[in-house]
Amino acid sequence: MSRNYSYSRSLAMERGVIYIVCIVLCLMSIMPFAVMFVNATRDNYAIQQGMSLIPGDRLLVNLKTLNERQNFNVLQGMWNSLFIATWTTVLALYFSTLTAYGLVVYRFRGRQLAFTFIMVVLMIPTQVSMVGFFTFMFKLNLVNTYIPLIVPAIASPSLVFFMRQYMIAGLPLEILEAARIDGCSELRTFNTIAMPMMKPALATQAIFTFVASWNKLFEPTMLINSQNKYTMPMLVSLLKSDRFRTDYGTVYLALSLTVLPLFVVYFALSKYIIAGVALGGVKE
Amino acid sequence: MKKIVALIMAIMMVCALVPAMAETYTTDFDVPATGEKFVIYAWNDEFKGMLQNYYIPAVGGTVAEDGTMTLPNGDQIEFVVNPNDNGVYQQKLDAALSAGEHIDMFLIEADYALKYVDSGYTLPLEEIGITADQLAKQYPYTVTVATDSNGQIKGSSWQAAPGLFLYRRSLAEKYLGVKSPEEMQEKVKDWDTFLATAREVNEKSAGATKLIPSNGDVWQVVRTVRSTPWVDEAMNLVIDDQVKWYFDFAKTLRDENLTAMATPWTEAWNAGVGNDSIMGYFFSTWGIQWTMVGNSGGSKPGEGTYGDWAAVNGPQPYYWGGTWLTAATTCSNKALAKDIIEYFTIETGSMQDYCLKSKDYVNNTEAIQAIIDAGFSFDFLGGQDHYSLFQAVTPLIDISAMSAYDQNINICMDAEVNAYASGEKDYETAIQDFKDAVVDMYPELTAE
Amino acid sequence: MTNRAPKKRHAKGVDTSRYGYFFIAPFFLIYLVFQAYPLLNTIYLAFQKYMITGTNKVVGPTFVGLANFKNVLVKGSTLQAFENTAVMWLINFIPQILLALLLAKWFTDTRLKIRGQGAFKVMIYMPNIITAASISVLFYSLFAYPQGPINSLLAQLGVIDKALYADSGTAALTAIYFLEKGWHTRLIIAFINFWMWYGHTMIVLIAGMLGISPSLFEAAEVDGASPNQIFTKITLPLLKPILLYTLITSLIGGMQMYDIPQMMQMQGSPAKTMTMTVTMYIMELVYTGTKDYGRGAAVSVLLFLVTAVLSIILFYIMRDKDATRERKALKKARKEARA
Repeated sequence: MSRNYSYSRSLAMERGVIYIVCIVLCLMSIMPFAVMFVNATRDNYAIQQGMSLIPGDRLLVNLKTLNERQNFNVLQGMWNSLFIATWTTVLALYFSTLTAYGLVVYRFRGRQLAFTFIMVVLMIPTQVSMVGFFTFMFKLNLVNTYIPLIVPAIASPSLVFFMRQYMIAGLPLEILEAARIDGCSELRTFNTIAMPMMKPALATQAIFTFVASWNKLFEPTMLINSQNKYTMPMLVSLLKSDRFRTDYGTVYLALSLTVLPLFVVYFALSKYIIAGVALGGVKE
Repeated sequence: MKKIVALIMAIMMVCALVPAMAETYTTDFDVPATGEKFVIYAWNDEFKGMLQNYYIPAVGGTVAEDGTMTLPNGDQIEFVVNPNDNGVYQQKLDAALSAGEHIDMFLIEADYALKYVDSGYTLPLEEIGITADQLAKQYPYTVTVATDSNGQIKGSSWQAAPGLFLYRRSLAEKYLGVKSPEEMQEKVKDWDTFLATAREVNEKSAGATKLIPSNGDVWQVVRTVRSTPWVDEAMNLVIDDQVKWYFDFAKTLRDENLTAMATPWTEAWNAGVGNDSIMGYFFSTWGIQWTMVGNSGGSKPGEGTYGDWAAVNGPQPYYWGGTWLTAATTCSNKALAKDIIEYFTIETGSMQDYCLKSKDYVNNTEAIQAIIDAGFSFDFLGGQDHYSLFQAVTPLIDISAMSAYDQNINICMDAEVNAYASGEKDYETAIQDFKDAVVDMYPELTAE
Repeated sequence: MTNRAPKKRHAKGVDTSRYGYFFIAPFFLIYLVFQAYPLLNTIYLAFQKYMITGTNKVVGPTFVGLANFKNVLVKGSTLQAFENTAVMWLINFIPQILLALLLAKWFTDTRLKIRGQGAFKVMIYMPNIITAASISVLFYSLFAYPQGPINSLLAQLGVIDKALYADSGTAALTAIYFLEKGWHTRLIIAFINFWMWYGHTMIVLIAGMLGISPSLFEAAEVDGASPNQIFTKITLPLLKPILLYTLITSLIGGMQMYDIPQMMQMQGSPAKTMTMTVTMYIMELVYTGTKDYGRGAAVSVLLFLVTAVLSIILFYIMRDKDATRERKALKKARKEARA
């Protein structure tokens, strides 16, 4: 009885500590968004004079300024970013899972070598080869198209690595075996049985890939010329391009707008992180 | 006699222009169409806006709702804008140039102008049909900047960027008892006096107000009045007495706490224009109506610090910035490049029109003189005519110390001068580290 | 999990292994088309003198053997950059993985039943969705000098002299100029990286834990195992592949750290010496001043070699003994089949 009592008391204390820690961490997480949204409602002068968490009254003015910038077509920018990020995510996830599946499920000659190669690719710093990449894209006449921004995602070494590790930890081969016996083709087994089992992994990596692609700035800047093809981060960086007279209220408003679609995607996919979706329907 | 003739001419011109000023300035346009887009690379929307608001209407072209510019001959002008941040503009420009992409014109800044002037990527103005004589009304230093090592002129600037020292009238009166710009100029007439004044401001205000934001602002002036460039004929890094002087000046400022330690372009630096923490700034032409007005917290006298500023020459005549237009080697329509360059950098009429409407300081002595003669005042500076000061300072600008390496060498030096000033390194170590950093960045150079 | 048995397939005589080639083909095809040439180019350039000088003149390429490597190791900032990178990575990664593991344990512990953990999980990842540029602007202002929020807080707490601080004139003497000091800036950069990425790591770990069959936990609970025992005896070992992934990718990401340290550079700050990472150095060699592709490529190759050696060590430490045994068994089976 008394043992139970002290047990539940220590449990309550542990919970208390956990809640406090979590709440502090959450506050720290919210802070940058709060500052960003608040600054979106302040004017340039107020922002320069110091940080504040009290909203200003300039939201409409900033919106108007942003709207009047002829280059800042929010909807077009959102659409471009959405197009690139969605295709990048879809291609990267599908083909990385496919590659990882090939590496985990089949025992072919050169399997280890293929995996080692993918790891090598992952470890090579890309800064120098980027110069060659851009020149190469100029030569292939792919500048000012989205192809060099989307298609290379099919070869995403870190995603392959994650999917491989995830499959090693928990892909039940005997279910695949059962499907084969039922007469499923190899690709169909992958599409209809393996992919659904990977849901939690796919959801988390979808978020990461989407966010990374959405926020990319350097590559699109080097590759895209026409302003109607600019992505959201490129448009924001244009707002800041004139450091001699940057209107930071507008910049923060643009940044806030840039982050909103990410929230939507993130919250839509987050149920897979939260809900404890176990590896699809495995009963042992 | 000559002067009187010039004056009469100028007055006549002003008289001729005054009624036309409110209307759109127009000019003939007889550039044949090529059917190709005319591509211009720039790092912000400024020049694009200049074309949209001045050039296109003047030649009778159209600007669509989305900003597309169409010339009377049906050709379109396209801009590729990439921000200067982290050197993106030059990275992309270099990649496109070396890949032979079609670029008709691109813009360059004083900091790295020589890098492109002295390269095969820019056309001599002669080749697009502009002669050296046509540039006679430009401030000579702007022509020198655009002249390559073979004596060919490769670019032309629409603005001159002479600099002044700007100070807050109310703070100067409160802490220095200064009542007029003339008195203030006496307080900052050379660097020794400047230092003494910085001490006085610090002392009288009990540290609440500083004369200048940072030692970097001093360098902004000193860098342009040096007698030797960073790199000599033998490709050797030169550290002259003026650099040594600056290191010590920076250390004195820091040791005695005489600046606000607000690095240029940081928040605190921008904010200082709008509050009482900083009394003065070094700024050139463009910096006044853009940066300062924008940061003053007002848009008419009485609001924020608007109207409380005044301009004086300061310790030395200097320049800061400036933009040059160049025609790229791949230019597909040289006649259009010529027409645009002439409109903004050569013709007095169009430049005067642009100057009056934009308050930008144009690169045309004749246009500026006409504006001054017609009576000019700026309410941000309490009604002062700072164009007269600019007009007097500009011929004194000496760019003999300019080199293609300035931008990056100055950045390398910044870190070392601050390490020295804060006491982290002694002078010898700082200089040695500076040399190492420069040679690391430019392996073709040597450092003694 | 442990009874994965490729032998079975062989026993049934259905050899599907050749499908592996088809499955991995798209990756290699796309990689060859888009990345292989630039990559080989990097390795080639490491042995060439090839640069575009400050006045846009092209020098080279001419073969110079190991001269670039010698140059970057003897002169320049290579070693300092490696030290900076390693220090800032370790300071951020160790607390990051520990906190992520702790949170993952809390959120998966059936005994604790943390309420609102969905909201916690979602929010903790949030710093990762803003760009590095926006994050740095925020921290720039937080640590502003002399009167940024952190300095004000320190004055409130009495860490720096409040009386002096109130008088803005002498503030400069007491307030801390964070971004000018090497170690201060290092810690700030490490903290930002830690704070941006622990949520990410936590989510990866939780995804890994969710992949573990619930029946294993149920069985352990029935057997009377304590939550701590379940965590150390079941969760951690089964999480090993995902942990390895986290370690390796964090290592690689850490070695290639660029955004935050780059953005936290105040122009002209002496702190740069202690905060310039290897990738920043490569970018500087290749994009600023003289574009020295040869030396830039040489530092890239060095960075790759260091990363590879460290990764191999990690792989070795974390190697799956079962898999090794399995591989041996497979070999033996093949031999038998042939005989």
